[in-house]
Amino acid sequence: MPATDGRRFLDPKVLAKISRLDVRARLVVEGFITGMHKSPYHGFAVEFASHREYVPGDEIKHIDWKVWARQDRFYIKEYEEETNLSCTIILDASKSMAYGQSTGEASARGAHDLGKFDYAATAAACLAHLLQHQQDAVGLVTFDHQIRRQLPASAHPSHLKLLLHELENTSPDDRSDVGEVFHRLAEQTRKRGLIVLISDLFVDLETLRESLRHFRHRRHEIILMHTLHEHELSFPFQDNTMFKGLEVSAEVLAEPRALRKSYLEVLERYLQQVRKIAADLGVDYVRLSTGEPLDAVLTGYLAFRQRTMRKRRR
Amino acid sequence: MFGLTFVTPWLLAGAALIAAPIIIHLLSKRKFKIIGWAAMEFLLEADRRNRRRVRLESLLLLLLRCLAIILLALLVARPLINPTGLLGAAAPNAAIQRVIILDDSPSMTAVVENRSAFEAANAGLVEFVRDLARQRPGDTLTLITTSAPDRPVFNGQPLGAAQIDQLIEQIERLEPTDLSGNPATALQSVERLMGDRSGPRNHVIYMITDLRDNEWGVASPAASSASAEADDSRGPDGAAGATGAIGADGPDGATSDAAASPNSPGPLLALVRQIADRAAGFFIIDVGGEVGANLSVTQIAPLEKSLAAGVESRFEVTIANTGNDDAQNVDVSFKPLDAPEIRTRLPLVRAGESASVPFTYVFRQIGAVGIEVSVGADALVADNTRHFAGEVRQGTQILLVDGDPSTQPGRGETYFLQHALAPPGELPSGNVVDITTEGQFEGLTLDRYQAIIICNLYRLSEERITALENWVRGGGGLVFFLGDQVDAAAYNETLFVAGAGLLPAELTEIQGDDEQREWVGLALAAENHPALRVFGGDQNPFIKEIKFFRWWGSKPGDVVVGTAGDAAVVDAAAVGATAPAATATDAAATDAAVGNDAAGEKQIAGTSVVARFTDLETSPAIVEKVFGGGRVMLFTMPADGTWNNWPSDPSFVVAALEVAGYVARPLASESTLAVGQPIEQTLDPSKYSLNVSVSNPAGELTSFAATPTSDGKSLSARFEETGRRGLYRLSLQQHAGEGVEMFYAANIDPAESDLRRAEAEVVTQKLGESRVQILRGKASLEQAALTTGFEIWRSVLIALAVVLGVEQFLAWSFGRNR
Repeated sequence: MPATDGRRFLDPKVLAKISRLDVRARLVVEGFITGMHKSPYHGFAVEFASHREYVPGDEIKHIDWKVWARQDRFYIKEYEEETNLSCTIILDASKSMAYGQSTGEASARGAHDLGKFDYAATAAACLAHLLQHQQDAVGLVTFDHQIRRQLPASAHPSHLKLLLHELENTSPDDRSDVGEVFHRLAEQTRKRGLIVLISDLFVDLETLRESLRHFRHRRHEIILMHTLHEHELSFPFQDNTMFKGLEVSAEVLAEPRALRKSYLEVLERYLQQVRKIAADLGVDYVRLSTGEPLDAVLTGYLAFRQRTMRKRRR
Repeated sequence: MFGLTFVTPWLLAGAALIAAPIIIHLLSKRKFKIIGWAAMEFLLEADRRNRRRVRLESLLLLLLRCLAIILLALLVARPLINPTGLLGAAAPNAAIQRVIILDDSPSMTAVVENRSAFEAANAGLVEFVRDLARQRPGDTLTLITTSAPDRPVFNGQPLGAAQIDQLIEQIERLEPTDLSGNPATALQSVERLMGDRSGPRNHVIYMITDLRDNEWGVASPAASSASAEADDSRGPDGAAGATGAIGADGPDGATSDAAASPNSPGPLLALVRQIADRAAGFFIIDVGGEVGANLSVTQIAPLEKSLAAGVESRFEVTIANTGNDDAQNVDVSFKPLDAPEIRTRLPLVRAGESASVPFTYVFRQIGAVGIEVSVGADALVADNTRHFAGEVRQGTQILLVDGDPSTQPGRGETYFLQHALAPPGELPSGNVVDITTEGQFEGLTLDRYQAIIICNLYRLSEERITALENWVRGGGGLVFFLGDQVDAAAYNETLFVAGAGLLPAELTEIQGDDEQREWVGLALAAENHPALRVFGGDQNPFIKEIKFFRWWGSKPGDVVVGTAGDAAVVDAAAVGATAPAATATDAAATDAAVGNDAAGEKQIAGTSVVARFTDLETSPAIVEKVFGGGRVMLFTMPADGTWNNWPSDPSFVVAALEVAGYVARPLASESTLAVGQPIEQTLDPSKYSLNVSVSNPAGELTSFAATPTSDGKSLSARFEETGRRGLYRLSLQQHAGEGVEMFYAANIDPAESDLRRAEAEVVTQKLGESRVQILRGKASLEQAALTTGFEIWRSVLIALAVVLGVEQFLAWSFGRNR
């Protein structure tokens, strides 16, 4: 497979056809990196680690010209990254994340769309993959109204497998409640690091604010990856529909066309509130839609990385 | 019960479809998908916000859809709103003006099933008004008769109990008239009435009529061509067709228009449709019926140019059978006033055809005469009698102008003519001959003469020629005899005028043998010339002895080869021109009018050679020219015996009488009127006093004063109450001497005799989509009273369109706002 083809794996529709999460994550990350040669995010390691042979797509400036002078071969200088970055991915595995799972409507239509949780899990896997690639320590926490699984951060290569396995075997269930979960996590995570929260954030916003504030208080950096299904963003339904709450036991029988405008208004107000919270607390906010390519996840992370690198250089 | 009835009530069941949108609505509520939804809070809030509005919107749309279904069902069921019902009473201005148009023309007196159509109409009307007064005392009644559409019998009369007896009495007193009313005029008055905003807004119109095709003009083309054939059979020669125009000088208007275009819906139908569209109801109530034989006297035509005392006057009476059956042994009575009747029996008059009966009568005295011609009683009595009024004079007024007078008997130029036209002695000739000389002629008034014969005149002054031209144009007959005194150059310059003047031919020079040793004869060029046909044929015994020694050579103007047909056409034109061409009422008259047009073309070059000499060049002997309404004849020989021996030959007498009778201007037949046409007589104030009295056919005397005319030079006696058929006597008082009596005959329109009926189906078909209902039979008026209702499908259709439009707009607008 030509390396440039990897970019197409950023498209969730293509990814949905790939069942294995680890393959999925690897393809995404490789495709992303391959396509990054013109990206401003480059050179984030400082200590030399090893040489490797040049492959098309690598930056020319990383070619070790001395080696070329000696051996007439292109080698890329690879640098040891600082390994003091510890990243914890907190993935929402509550019932609300189950929307659009392939067991539901999407498979009935024969479409290969990623469900919200699939998308979120893929995003988490990609991140983990990328971080592992960078030799950063990655940890994973899945939660609903309580912590379901917790894998502490580690940079060990075998850790990624464990992590991916965990992601693959998690299915969304139960209601979500960030309050208690986040406070506990904030207490547990002693080492200052990066927290990536992947959730639809259908929670009480005040609780969210307090929880995030707690993390910030512990001097964690937070990237809020707000994952919403594209249906939730555009409300594309036409026929009469009975909407049953996934987490709450409410149901609404409605003509969706009649509701769309109001729904979108309410949604927009909510999104604004979320963004405001993120801005207030200095949290990186990345909104993910299942209809959009996954590079937003990676770009979001890399943007954060670059910013922290610059801070450090200063 | 609600004042709402339906034309097709079973289709109202379609309203059950109203359930359809409701069921669809409910079904759509039942059918839904189930989706597990995460962002439930937002949805709940959006639903909370929207619920009221969405419910209202869908309810509104549902209502509109149901309404559309109801309207659709109403539309196909065609509701009739009855203003007498609840809906009508609830409506503003619910009072209805009932307008009745009653045909009271003579045709309504036709007896069908033992009573006349008018009696049937009247009886029905009384019942109708009684019913109406009982059921709808708030309504008003307007009754218009076709004879006097501008003077309604009642106008907006309330139907209260106090007035009803009086109304009924008034209706019962109504009588059919002799006036042939025009239904279109009556409808126009109704239209004006409806335009009056101060009155009630709802009008229901009842048109009581005998539905004759003549008025409604819906006949099929086959029927009209049959009638044309029947008209052709009236007389083989053109003269009969032409005199048809005299008999038919009745009222004009829609009847002739309808006859002219039998295929298109006539103006009457167009008017009916136009009014029906605006009225709440329009009923045509047919009270007529088919009749057997219906004989009518359609024409009394004198064949003489003027009635002269003491000589035989010939009349042609036309009897038409407009019924469905042939009539056998028809007795025709010809009765001059104050004289015994003359009876003739016609063996057969076929249905749809007409027959002519000649009558001859000798009037003994000069003065006004009246003639009544009648046929036996039949279904329609009104047209069985026809009147003729005229004036018997001493004879045809002829002026002889002698260019070479002489006191010696036989030497004057006009001696032979005078003796031929009015021989001395006791026996009347029917002509009154005045002789004048060249000098006297210059100052003479020409109007009283019907014919002028100019003999061997040297030349004429410009003024005299102008006067002559005007006189000929007005119908006068001018005859030139030439002779040795004639100034050919002056004749050519002032009279021939290169063919534009009076003289039919340009004179060249005198021809023939001075010594009178050689002679030529005369040969008729136009074999069937109306005046000279007795001289036709080879070796005609009348003229074979005539010798012409000398004559004037001549070159006729643009010659039209004279044939009998042309002569007849020309003849028709001459008579037709005096009768108003526009007053055609039947096809015969139209024929005459067509003939008139054809002759009009001929008049441009209306010169024909009637007779030629038998010399080598066959020089013209008698040349004729039509000039305006009159005609000019040129004899290229003298009227005395100097150049020929004809004047002393007996055939000259015949020729003179015939030619004089042929060219003479017919006297205007003003004294024959249509019923309703006013009598108008201009009086010379120097001769007559102002007092005028008129006695109508019933003998009632009306006296009034003549009024001065606008120019103030003469008096005008005008009498308008000529609504009854028969003879009217106008009595004038002379300043000196006795009173003078004039007769006028008022006849009903011959079109009234035509009882052929318009088929109700054809009328309905020609009316197309309209609210007009044609009812027939005894109960038709009561039926009309009960089913009074007006269709509202137009309004329903508009409402439906509006509802559907609003529904679409709202649906779109609701959808857009979400």
